[in-house]
Amino acid sequence: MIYRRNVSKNDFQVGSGMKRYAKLCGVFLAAFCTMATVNSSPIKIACKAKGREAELIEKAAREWEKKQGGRHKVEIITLPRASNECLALYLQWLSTETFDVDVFQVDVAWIDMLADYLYPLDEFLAAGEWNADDHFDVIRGRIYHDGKIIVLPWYTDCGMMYYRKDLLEKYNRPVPKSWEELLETAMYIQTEERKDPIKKNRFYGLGFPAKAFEELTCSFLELIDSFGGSMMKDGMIVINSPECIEATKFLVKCFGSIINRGSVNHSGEEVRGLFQSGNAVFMRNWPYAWSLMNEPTAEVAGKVGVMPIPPGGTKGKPSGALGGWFLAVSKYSKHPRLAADLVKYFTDEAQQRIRSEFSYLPTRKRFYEEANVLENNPLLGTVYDSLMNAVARPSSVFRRDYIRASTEIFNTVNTIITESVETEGFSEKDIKKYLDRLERKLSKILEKASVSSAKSDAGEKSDGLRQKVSEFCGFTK
Amino acid sequence: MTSEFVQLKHQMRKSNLYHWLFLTPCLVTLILCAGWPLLRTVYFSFTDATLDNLRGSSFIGVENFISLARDHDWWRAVLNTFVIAFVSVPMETVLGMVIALILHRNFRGRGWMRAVVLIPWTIPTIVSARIWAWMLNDVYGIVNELLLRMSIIVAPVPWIASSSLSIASMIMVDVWKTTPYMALLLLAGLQGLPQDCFEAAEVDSIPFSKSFVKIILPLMKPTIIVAMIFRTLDAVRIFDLVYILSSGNSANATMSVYARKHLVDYTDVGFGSAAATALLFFIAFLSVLYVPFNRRKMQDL
Repeated sequence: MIYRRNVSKNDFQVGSGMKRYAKLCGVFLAAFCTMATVNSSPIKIACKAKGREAELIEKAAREWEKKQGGRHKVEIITLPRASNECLALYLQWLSTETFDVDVFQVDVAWIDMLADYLYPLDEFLAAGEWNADDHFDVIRGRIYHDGKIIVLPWYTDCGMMYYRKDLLEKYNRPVPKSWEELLETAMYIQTEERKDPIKKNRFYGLGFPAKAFEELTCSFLELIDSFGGSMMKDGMIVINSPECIEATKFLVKCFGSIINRGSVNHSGEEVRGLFQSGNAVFMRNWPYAWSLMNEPTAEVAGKVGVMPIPPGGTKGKPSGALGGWFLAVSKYSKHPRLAADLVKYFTDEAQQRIRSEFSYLPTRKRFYEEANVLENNPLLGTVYDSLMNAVARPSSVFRRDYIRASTEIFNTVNTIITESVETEGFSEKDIKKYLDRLERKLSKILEKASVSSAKSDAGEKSDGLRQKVSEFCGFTK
Repeated sequence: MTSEFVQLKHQMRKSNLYHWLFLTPCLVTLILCAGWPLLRTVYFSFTDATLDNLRGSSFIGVENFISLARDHDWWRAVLNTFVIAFVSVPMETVLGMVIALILHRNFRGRGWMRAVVLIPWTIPTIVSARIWAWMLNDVYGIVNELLLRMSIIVAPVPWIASSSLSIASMIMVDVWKTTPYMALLLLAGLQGLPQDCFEAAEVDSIPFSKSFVKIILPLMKPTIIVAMIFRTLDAVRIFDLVYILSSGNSANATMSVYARKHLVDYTDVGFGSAAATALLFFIAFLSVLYVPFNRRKMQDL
């Protein structure tokens, strides 16, 4: 009897267990559903949020959430430090077509490469609310693809020359007006400063990042631009023109005198380390360095001046490589409207104003024309001049093969510099040899780029064998 | 007799079945984790796939391999790789042997010492490479600072910037990092040696130099060869150290850095896979060399 009762009790318990389980599931399901409706998947933004910038972005994101009434969350995805790695990451994400990042930070040089993956933003930009003409011409020219706006300008970058005001004063030297003057001044101050035994082995005239990276392509293109040369002319590569050779010769001369040899493995950050610790008179860098060097704890705070890249040679003009970052919405975003709203909020005037104080430079001309802004922030005045003369990288010409072209450029320049300091009797003839080789390589890449873009324009034709092989190996969708 | 034989056969078949049963999870994991990506990479090396267009790629035969063989930068990378591998591995072996012999002796704090020696090997390469990059920095690196203070050099040396020194620096860091691993392998070999030989040598009061050459080296030969071959196969794939320490110039790249550059930076998956497949071929070739060594080792024993 007892046994039987036990069994029946057991049965009962199992039943109630099942019920309880079902109830629990129901509760979870309900909770999940409410969570899903309240907190519909967050808007994901991929950007290079580091240090100071991370705080700015975080703050802006929280403000946007508040503006949306707390219905939508923003998730910030931090990108790698090196730009070329970000691009590779994007391409990997996008190629899966299930890319669940809604908004991403795009370099000016990638727009042509990523254009096919970007959501056109025109429909979200009400007339009068957003005006393309507010922005600098060099920036406005990059936001369209096939007549549609695909990116909104976030902040701009421009290669510039920093100098130590206090050192120029100490040695009674004016701010140099040309590369030749800069070399002379830097050489003089370097010799004088090195008389101090502590500075003997570590003081240099010019900090110049020459690591074989994208940055070197920028600084080389602006250098030849400042000597009146150009990489391309009438659709032809002319990187071995007399002006370019003259500019390269000048760079080699600087490496033999005012730039430290180790710079061939230094990126902008290492060069900033050199300059910020007070061990250089001049430095080529991006605007971001400005606010870092003027922090109260920095050794050179308040002693730094800034100017555009000076002209060189007889046909020179001031210059600066155009950098710049844009925000774009992914074609695969599930909430393009919300994402576009976030992009609009992040790139609007108020945000650009806040960010300009931390030397993330606004893209709207208006800021630079306000008198008090220029007074408070001498950087903006310089940038204004630089942006008027800025030289863009040839990404729209090389399109998909831009990275390849850029790699050829920075490899060649890095090799020229390395060889010039290491081999005896390195002369103009060797420079010409390398630049001729570079010209041939770039022409080849350009040829290939135009062929492949023509091919993609002609539409995709699937050939039978390829289809079969792909199907056989299971690579088709 | 026959029934016993049948039973034995049956048992063997059963145990064979068990062998396979236990091996299956391992094999499946291996095929999924190593086999499939490997085959995919080999497949891609015959296509013109790009990073954002993997599915729509077309079959182009050995075109990638032809352009690879024609690329000057690739052969430069091959040369760099073999220079690094064939210089660093012997150095690691000699140093590792010395350390192993020391750690094999009885002294106070031996256990502690054995753990400490392994530290360079346990730090992730990417971290130690970064640390070395800072230490070797020409302007504010501690290596130059120390050498300057000791008046060994008169001006800062660009350790990782000059083309000749940067390869040497990479070899130095690689030796620093991997010697402990070598020491560990060799120490295991030493501990497995028959003790009676050493005791006999001690009884006959044979000097250490002689017993090292006549006893330890011949007995350790198989272990040393296996360890060296393992390390060489490993060294040929060197990537992270070079990626961090070099200036990014193709002149200093190794094979895997070259493959990565094409695969990721240029988004040229087809060509990058061809480079990776060629690297695989080099490794396979070295592994084949290992076989006769292995056979001789068996005969020696």
